[in-house]
Amino acid sequence: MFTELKNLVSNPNHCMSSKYFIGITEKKVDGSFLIHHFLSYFLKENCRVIFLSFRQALNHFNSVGNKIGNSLSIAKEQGNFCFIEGLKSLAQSVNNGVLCGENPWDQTINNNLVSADKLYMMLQSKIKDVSFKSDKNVVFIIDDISTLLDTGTTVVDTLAVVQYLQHLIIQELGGTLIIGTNDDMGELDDDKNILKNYLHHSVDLCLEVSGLETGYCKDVHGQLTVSWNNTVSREKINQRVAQYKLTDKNCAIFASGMSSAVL
Amino acid sequence: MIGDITEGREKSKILLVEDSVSQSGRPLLISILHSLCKRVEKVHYICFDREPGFVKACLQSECSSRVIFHDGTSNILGWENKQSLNVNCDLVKYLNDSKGHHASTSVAIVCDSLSPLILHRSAPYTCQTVTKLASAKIQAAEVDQVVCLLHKDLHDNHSINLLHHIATTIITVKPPKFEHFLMATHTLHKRLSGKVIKLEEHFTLNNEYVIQDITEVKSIDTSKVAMETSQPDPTANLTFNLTLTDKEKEARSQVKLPYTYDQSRQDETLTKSVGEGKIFYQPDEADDFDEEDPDDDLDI
Repeated sequence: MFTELKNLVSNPNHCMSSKYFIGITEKKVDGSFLIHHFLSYFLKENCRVIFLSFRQALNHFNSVGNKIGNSLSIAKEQGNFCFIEGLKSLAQSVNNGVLCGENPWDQTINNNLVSADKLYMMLQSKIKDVSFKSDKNVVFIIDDISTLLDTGTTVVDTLAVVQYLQHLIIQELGGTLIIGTNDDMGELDDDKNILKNYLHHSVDLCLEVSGLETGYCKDVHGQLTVSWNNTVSREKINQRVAQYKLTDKNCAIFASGMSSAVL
Repeated sequence: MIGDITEGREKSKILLVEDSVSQSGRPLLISILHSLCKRVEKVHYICFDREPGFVKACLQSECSSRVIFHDGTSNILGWENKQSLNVNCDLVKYLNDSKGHHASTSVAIVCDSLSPLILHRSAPYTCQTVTKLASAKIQAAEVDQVVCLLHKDLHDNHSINLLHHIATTIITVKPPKFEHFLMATHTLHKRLSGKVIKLEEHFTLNNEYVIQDITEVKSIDTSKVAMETSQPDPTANLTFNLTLTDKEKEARSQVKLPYTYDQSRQDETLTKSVGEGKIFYQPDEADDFDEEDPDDDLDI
């Protein structure tokens, strides 16, 4: 957990571990530090975290977790952490035939494509399994959902999965949903653009990570825009922009242009 | 104009509120919902986007009894086998079948939002549904107005244009240009007479979601332009006078220059002096001024 990041994104009016929807968009930079942060934050908050990763294997998260003082293996033993592997199994399933052993993703595949309703049914049964075991708040994290678009799933199907998950996690279980997506191509990729905009319209907290406009810098790694959306509010969108620098075990946050390298 | 439309003084059967990521149109939709509650007996609020509780929390107590929420978010595609509203439902039939909400005179329908309907069905289907809703009778009550929210950054131009054709008023919500306003709107209103009105306005909403401080963008813009063009006057703080008053200009125009041809002056000179040669300069009609230097050929 990165304390400075926690202070930046926390909302005084709303508890993040109940009925909350967080969207993470990254543009041409790696925003996975946010996923690591939320993983450790919600485990420390004593929530049950279910994590679907399309980008990295469990080992990666284990080793990063150990570095930042968050042991996923202990959390798993205690039943607070459930990892759904999406990187290898999804690739095997959509690439037809190169299967090694039993693959849970097979049941979600129809004509070499991920079928949205079957995917949701699979996720729903896993989430319900975990949530029935205790009354702790459930946190479901997907990193990153735009991988589904890359495997050929239509944007409409992907949005349907998001909406069903939103209802299940937030309305039925009263938990938190975190969905990451990438926006590397910007306006050029229509599908990812629609997915990003849809998330923007639906989330309570939107985090956008992007590179610096002025290009690469070794002391400032990127820019983080935090927006607290309340689409029924009579006030303007509450937005804060900060810059960050990632070190081995920490994430330093500072106001734009206030890096110690500049001052 | 925006006040007339939202308060119902300007008749509009199908009202479309378009928003985008940069500015949500939902506060305006809630403002319209409050005004509908004062005008019609019941308002059917169809939720396809966010759950009903999200909007319910913002409603004034006197309105809540008039609004009937229909939740379409829990099972939007009908994947789960339960009888609930989804995008495959015939909305007119669904509203007619919904029990216990009898209204005898007039009802209004608010759809929040049309985007899932367009994405999961199609734009033509959505247009058909909206026009059907506008002309339908819901449990013997006339539909007074259909108000729809649309996230326009989730659709292509073709789909949005189709909806523009069936809507009688299109309000596009934008972030305001000036800090003290909540939002800006571009309104396109098609009157029954056929006249089309386009207008840009800024406004704020008060605690009861009533539109306030409506300002037309045009008037703001002209005042801004006037401010920009009023440049400092260089003759303002001089120790001498460079400008002339009207009286001085008139006096100057009456001054006769010496040696100019003038009948009275010629007569005067001719009568006064006898035997003296006089030169009178009378300018030619065509300009006779020679631009070339007359001494140009001299080697001085």
